[in-house]
Amino acid sequence: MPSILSNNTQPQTNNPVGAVNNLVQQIMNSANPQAAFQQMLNSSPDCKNAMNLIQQYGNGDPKQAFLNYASQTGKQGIAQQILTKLGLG
Amino acid sequence: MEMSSTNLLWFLAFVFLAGGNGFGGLFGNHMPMGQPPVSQMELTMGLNNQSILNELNALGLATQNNNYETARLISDQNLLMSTQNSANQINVIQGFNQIAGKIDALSAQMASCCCEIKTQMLQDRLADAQAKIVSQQAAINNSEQTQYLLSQMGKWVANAPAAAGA
Repeated sequence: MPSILSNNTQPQTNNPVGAVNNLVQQIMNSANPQAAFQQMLNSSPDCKNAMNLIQQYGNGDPKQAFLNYASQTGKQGIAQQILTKLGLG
Repeated sequence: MEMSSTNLLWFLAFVFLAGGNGFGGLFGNHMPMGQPPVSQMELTMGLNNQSILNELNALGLATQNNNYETARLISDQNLLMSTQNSANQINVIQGFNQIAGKIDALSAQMASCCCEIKTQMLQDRLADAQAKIVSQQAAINNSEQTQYLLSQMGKWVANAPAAAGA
């Protein structure tokens, strides 16, 4: 069984939006999405750190944390870039 | 965090915004957070672990299903064998019943035969007894006649008539 990211190795560089959407869909479509998400947290210090920051900046709400973190850390520029690329902006 | 596609997308967006050179560096966002970035290999290995767990779960479920199916087949086989055993026992019992019926009939015949023999024996004894009685009665009669004759002879001797011409 291929891993969730095994097909994303190359596209992540050239097409990050597609890779992210693909990752989201594969996690949500996995047999146990919560376990797959938890496994991603355990395997990635960035993800684990993000969860702590989401609690700190958004009280558990990732969208609110994103907006608060961007404004409070002066990262509005890169935040807008990310939102545009992910289709969230 | 509630698991949904939207929340997951916002979560990943936040990871890109706040992350380091690994996962978060996907968009060129090289901002160290004091932690080493996760490599693609590490992330793949972690998710592979999840795949292995899923496969183990599927294998465990398949094993349980196989065990259940095996137990069901054994149960069915036991039921079939039990049914066959019951049928065999019924046949044996029916055979015994038939034999017992024949024994009963034979016993009745023997009892009837025995009764006839006893009856015949009693009849023979009765006939013998009757014959003895007749014989004894004849002997008695003979004895009485003999004694009567002897008695007459005695009388005749005691009172013998004078001889003719005496």
